[in-house]
Amino acid sequence: MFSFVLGFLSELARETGDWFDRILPAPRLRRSLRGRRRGRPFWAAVWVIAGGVEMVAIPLAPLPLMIKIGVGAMSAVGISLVLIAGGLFFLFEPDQRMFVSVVTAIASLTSMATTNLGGFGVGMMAGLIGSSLAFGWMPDPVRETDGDDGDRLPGPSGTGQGDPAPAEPAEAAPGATGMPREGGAPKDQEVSAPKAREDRARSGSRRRPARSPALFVVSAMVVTAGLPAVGTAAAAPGTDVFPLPRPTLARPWDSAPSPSPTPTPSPGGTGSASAPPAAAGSPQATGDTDADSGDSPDQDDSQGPGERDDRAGAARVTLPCLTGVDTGGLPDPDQELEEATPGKTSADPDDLTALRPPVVVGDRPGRPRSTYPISPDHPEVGADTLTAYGAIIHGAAYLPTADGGRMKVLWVHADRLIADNYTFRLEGAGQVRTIDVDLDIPQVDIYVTQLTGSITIPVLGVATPRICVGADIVPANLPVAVQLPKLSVTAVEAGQVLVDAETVNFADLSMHSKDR
Amino acid sequence: MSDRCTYTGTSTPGAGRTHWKRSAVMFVPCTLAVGALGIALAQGALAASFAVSGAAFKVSASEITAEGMSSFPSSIGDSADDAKPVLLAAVKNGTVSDVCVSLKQKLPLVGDITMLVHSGADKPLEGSNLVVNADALTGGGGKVTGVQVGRDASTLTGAPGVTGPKGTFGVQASTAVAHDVESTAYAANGGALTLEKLEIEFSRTGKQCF
Repeated sequence: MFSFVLGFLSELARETGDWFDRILPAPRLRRSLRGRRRGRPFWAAVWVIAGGVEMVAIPLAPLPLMIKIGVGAMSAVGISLVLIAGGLFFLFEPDQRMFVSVVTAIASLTSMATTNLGGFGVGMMAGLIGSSLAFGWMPDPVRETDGDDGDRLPGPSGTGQGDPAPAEPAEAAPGATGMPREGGAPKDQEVSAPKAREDRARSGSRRRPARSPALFVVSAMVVTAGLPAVGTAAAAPGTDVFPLPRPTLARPWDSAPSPSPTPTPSPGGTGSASAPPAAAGSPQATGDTDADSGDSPDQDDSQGPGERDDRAGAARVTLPCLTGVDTGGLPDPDQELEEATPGKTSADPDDLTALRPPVVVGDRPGRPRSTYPISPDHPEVGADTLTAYGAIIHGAAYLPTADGGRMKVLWVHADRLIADNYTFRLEGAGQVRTIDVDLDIPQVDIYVTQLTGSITIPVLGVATPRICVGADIVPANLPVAVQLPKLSVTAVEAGQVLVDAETVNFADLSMHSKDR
Repeated sequence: MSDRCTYTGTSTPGAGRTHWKRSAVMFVPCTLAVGALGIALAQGALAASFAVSGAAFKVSASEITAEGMSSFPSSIGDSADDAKPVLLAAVKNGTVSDVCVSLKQKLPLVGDITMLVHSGADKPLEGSNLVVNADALTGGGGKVTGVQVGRDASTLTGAPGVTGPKGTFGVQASTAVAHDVESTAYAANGGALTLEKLEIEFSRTGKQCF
């Protein structure tokens, strides 16, 4: 029963193949390609290369980033290159297939632990299948069953005479390395003796069921269905019949030379091996529109000017900014300021009855000023209300920037800061990043370039007009600080340079990046 | 090229073929090794390394903890025209509980297909040297300690080896905990990630994590 099914299938495959042969163009070219394919473990090479390309195509993050991360990320590239190189060996140096297939099999296994579970299993399985195919591939022993085979190169062995398919081919071909390369005869042979060919095929069909179609179909299915992101480099060798759509990932090696269907030992074939490392930072998906549609664009607009104006409406009037005049100041705080002991502020943030002199002259209370370099590129922030308990207004100070400069900022410390609907907006290089979050921060130092807001006077509960103070008009590093048990500011806008805190509690965080 | 099947049974000079018994000699042990590796990975005995990128994928997690974190704005893409703004976040050591990753991919011939990966429902995943390029992020709440918001990105020390260009706004923290995180990301790289009970699901219904 089993052999009957096999025979039927092989018959069907042969008929289909005959039909394809009749309708497809360029018979001479295809026959010569066919000879090349048969002379080497072609499908093994296709599988192995496909596996390698899949592994390196799926994972690639920006290359500079991968280099920073080091071994873990680079192993994806390394193992892929081993597989691709192995596949090229199968194509161009089939004699070395034994050793190379063992190497590619081990590389495939290793990829499972090092490379995205072996390219999510797909690349690893393709590599294993290809390695096994190559391991099992043997050049045929010469069979002298037909007269028209007379022009073949002398075979290494005479065993298997009259038997088209030796039962144990491995033993039947001791001189496997003497495999003839690229015979020149296939055209004449097949054109001149179609009848003989058919007879021969039938006689051999029982032992040699049509495996190639099965191989081809499975290969094509996996390559086309499983690896959409893989560049044409992998697809070209086996599936030029299939009009592969453009890969979804625009990668540099899309334009790289793909291995030609005709394996010619030219540098063009190795182009695919050297191309992947050049994929520096290009995981740019053309399917971005799909991905973006999942976001909720309405949240992106929460920082729009109209909304900000609404919030400002609570504070009626915004006074002109007190800014534009740099009053200078001491270039650096005195050394003793760095070692100042924390001043007395209320231990209980809700204890508003504690009355202290609001102005502290001399030693600064609170934590010393931060010393690490800041970025001159600072975000604009806003908040519906900003309430600081145990606030210490240190006045202006200079902060060092990473490029050796310095920036004058207002420095405010708070024992506890509560920001309601805090919005953070950072622009740069045509891109905008916004963060919306509610914050509750104990022991925080905030450094701003300018601060706009309506201050609520504690006892009276009256809000002032919106006051705007720039850091430049305040002399820097004055040994004076103002302590306030509670400072409540509404409709806040500020140029926030730095926030330094031991702990930040946040809720309802939402971050978005988009092009301006 | 499909015509090759016609001549499978014929002899062509220089031809060879695949001998299935020989192939099995390699394939069967390799398959067993794959199974063993898979068991080791699923039980957390072996840490897997990840580097994922390409189209945006969605990640959700019930809780994320991080120890040593750096973040700065970045962009991915090879030119200024198609650069995609993202927030790069690097974590030295971290855990993720009840994580879901979904990736929607358009395939030729097949159509849209989504891959859903669930893990860490029972025990949190542990990872080190993770770098994520996030496009959007929402979180229910959490706590960050040792925060420095505004430190120059070239001087960040939260996650070793990950620094940004000079003059860029940077954030770092010594520890971070976030609950109910949902994010759209373009790239994720993990030095090592210890998996727990991985469930992978393919579907064509378009079901995603959120």
